[in-house]
Amino acid sequence: MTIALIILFVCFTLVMAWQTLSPFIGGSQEQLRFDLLEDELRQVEELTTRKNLYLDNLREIEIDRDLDKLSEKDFLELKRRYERETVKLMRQLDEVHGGRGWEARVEDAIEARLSLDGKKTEALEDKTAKTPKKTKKKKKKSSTGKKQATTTRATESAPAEITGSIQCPECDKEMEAAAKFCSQCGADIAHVTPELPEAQISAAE
Amino acid sequence: MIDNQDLGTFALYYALVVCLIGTAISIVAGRTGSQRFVHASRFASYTGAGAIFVAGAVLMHALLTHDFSIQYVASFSDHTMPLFYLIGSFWGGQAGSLLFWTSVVAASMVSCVYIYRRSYQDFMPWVSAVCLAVLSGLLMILVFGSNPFEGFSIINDPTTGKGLNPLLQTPKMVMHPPSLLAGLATMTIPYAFAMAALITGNMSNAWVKAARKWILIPWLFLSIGNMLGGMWAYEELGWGGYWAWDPVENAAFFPWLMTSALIHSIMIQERRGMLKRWNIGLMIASFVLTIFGTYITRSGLIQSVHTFAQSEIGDYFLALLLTVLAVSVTLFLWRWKDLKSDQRLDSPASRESAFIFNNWLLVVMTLVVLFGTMWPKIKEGLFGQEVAIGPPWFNRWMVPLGILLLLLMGIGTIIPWRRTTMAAFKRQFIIPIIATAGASPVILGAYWYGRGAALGVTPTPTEASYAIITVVCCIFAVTTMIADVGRAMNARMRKHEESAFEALSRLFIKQRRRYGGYVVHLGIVCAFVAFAGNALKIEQDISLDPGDTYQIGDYTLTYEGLTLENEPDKDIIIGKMRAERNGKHVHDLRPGKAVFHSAPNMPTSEIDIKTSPIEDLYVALVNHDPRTQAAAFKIFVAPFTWWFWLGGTILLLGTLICMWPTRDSLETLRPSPGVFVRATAFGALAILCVTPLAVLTYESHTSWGSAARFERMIGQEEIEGTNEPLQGKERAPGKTEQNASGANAEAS
Repeated sequence: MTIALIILFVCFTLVMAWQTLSPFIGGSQEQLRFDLLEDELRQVEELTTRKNLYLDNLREIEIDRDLDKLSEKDFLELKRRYERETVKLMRQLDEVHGGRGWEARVEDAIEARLSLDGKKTEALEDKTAKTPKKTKKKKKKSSTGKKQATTTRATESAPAEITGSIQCPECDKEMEAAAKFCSQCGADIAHVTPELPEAQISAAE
Repeated sequence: MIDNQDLGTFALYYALVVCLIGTAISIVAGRTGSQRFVHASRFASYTGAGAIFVAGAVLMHALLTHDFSIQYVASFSDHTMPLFYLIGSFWGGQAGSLLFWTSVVAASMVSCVYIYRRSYQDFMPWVSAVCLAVLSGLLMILVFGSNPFEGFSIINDPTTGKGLNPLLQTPKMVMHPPSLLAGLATMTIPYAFAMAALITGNMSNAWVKAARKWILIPWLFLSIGNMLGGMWAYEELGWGGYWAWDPVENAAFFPWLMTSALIHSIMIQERRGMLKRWNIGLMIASFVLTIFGTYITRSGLIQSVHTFAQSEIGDYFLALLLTVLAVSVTLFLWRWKDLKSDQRLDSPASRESAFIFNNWLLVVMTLVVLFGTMWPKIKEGLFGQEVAIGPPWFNRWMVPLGILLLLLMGIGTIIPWRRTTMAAFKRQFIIPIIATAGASPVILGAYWYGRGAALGVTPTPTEASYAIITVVCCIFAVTTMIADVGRAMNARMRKHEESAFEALSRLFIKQRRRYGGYVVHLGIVCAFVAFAGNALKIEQDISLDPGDTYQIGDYTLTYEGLTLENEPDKDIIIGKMRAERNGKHVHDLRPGKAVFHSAPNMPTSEIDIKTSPIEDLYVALVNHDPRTQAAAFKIFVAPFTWWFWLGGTILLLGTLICMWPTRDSLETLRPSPGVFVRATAFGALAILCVTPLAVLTYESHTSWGSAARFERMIGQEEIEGTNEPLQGKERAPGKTEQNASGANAEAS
């Protein structure tokens, strides 16, 4: 029994040691992709955590108000403050992952970073050719439900060729072409047709 | 073939190297935000922990397979020990307990890093860095100061071990040290969050939110450890009580008090953005005190019943303590200005103020205990005078402070946030005050005339007034809780059209932190009832010849003589006693002493305790004369002691309710456990919490709690027939206490 335990822990240690080294072993493109994709998720998680904190506080003050432990005036003041903060965070969340096509943005960012690093044109061409395959691979690699959900939605509804922007009919906020809802006023903008860039219009023609 | 020594030592060295590299990677990850380094730091934590687990598994394997080529195995186990105590010997000695501590830090770090793998990304690299740095410090002590895999040379390789100290071979003692060690070890996680907040400069409530549940874990383990230790001292050691203000007990009590203060003050930060400096300070103090407590007990600085031989390990702990202190205080001062509160206190009559007073009281209590523990040593060092500070000194300070705390517990439950208007005061306080005023005389009178007066004890005016005030404050605290829960239930019943039962259960499910906290408070109230009962406690040390009777309270005890029972591994001397009350036979008492063949100089006590919610009748056989059959006993009647254990049990259950993860938190575990698994896990843990009290009560009403179980197993054999062996095992008076010290030392 204890022998099995020792073997189990030894295997665990070796696998984890390999995982520790893995980010430094892959090619430079893989490493860049790693950084950029994770960064999006990191932002989403961060904002979600903070949003949940305010929602918890909102629940707490409601209970305190019901139990006469918070005066109506204090309750309203705190409620306004927490709601304001929550809405602000929700808007930021929408900005990050409420729209679609963020994977395409990641690809653009990688390209930009590689150009900046003075990579050869060959490398760029090679990367462009491999892009669809890699996106798929990355999607498989992602282990979380949230990440999967985000990625799947992005791939299904926002193919990389959809670019340009749309304007919210309600508040005129400029949004990404693939957005479903306005990140400012929350209006449904799924039906709004994106304004395609001239290059794409001519290509389509 | 790799042997245990080599594999264990290699695992420790490997873990040390990984932890040091992991600390460096985590610092880079924290500074640059590079996700590659964040990923690497996370997996370096897993790798380091894995290597530590390998070392732990190897030591366990060596103990279970009796590998006596390892010094530690030979010193703390032998062939005859059952599996349960072999597992217990893992933490029965110094090196093993340190490896256990390190393993718990590693396990909690792994859990934390895994659970927060996608959140608190600005904190997590620093949390890993701090945990890995602490682990590196502990591993250095293990590798260079106290290696559990140290072997014998070929010449003196033993064929058998010395075995675990007989006093430690009780189930409670097997569980007490790991609980305390787990409490001390898990304090690393919330401390790491506080440090991460200081390093990143993120002074929002994020670290409090992240560390909130992790603060409850050390508090829970320290509570369990202190409770089991008290129970063991009460039932096995023959102290005559559950708390003796022993320095080692105090060392586990400092962090408990500090963490209790912190649990309350973080609520103020969460809600009002106040007490930011205070909270960080408390967190640092709690962690520093865990290392300080370990240092004073392991270095031999303080003389205690838990005696430890002076060893090199004390110097290592001092170095760790000074490093932690220097780093923490520097970071704290660096961020001092940023830690300014968002808001100010609106009124002294507010919930915030009640919590602040509560914090002051808990901190003052910590300082009192710290002073009482350290002053004899300081005075000896400064003036060369030896002084002793005993329980009366501690009680003089701690009793009034405790009563004030109890009063604040009641007030804090119902006082409104920000300010209390006269109308709010009337709404919240009038009913509890009236209920307390009505119920207190009834309850006190009912006890005094129903039972208390019959004990024939006249407490001093101070003791009596403290006891009465304590009971009144207990009633007040309970009524405030009932009033608050009642109001919350009404609100739910109105709002959601629920039945009373539904409303109550939903309250505990939806607001488990708030109402779990009330359950914890209820446990504390029960413990205070036990403290109040001490005013009427009767304690006697007596010597009796067979046939003698002795009156204690309204009990008449008749001593009937000694018997000797022989078991394969020990001899048991049993004192036979009969207890009557008002001429009616109530108990047969069988206190005894067990003399293990492996340790004939270390007899252990088999104390007979008849416990009930009203009072305990406690009889310990202290000494005996096999020739005349005269025996010395420690006897006492202690009202309400049972309530202390009940309080402890309720406290554990309440903490469990507070800590129980929400559905959202469980989602992070992937796959999230289903309702059935969650309910089963909660039920199992709840049963575990209730077990000590259930066992105590069962033992009290059956032969299992006293030496009578040996009588029943082997059969009666009168002392006359076995006079010879009994004489051979006669012990000098006072030997018991002396030997108990050594045993307790190893256990801790």
